[in-house]
Amino acid sequence: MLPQPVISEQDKVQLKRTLRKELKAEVTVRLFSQKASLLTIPGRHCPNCPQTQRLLEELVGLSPKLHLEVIDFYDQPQVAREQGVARIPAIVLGADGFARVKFYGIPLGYELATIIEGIKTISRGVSPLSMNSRKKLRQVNQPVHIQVFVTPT
Amino acid sequence: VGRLAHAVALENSQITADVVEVQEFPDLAQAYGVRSVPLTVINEYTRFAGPVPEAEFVQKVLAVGVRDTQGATG
Repeated sequence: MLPQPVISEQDKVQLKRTLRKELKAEVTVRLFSQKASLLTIPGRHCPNCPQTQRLLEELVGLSPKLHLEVIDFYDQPQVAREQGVARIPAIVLGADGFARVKFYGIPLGYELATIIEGIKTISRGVSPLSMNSRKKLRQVNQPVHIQVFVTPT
Repeated sequence: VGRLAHAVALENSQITADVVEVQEFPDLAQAYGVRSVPLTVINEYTRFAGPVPEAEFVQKVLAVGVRDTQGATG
């Protein structure tokens, strides 16, 4: 039996159109996950990793400009450390070497829009923020780490 | 707020933003005392609940992220 698609067929049609219209440069989405295994190692259980991967596979399948790179958190701990990934599933957005934007967990419902918005910003190089906000943010000269806690909607 | 945080982080290389789905990471939710969502935490000590307008969010980031090396008021 095939698993149910995570993104509904209706949403896929809509998303495909949006992505075709809005994406310019190619974007690689990185997923830190865990290989499927028959054994459950205590402390290494990631119940949502498979579904998160399926969701992202479906998403990148909607545009030739999107790519997915899946990195095993336990096989490549040094990559996880470099990118500041502390837990899985973690979705990392950004061009090579800059992992400033992360999503921890499975982005369902409204949160998928958060991922898509980030992809659009990176792909187009155009921010959704106002000119005034952008000008002000250029003044930031100290490290700032923002965490936003959400629930799926 | 998640989208806003990501957009803000993409503006300046000093800024990073994590959006965390709390039901999947109850340990984190507990560590940060998350009682309602969305909850935003900036550099561990600035925290606010609920959605805020863009200008206010940016202001909160600036309050933490701008140190005026000239000693003038910022």
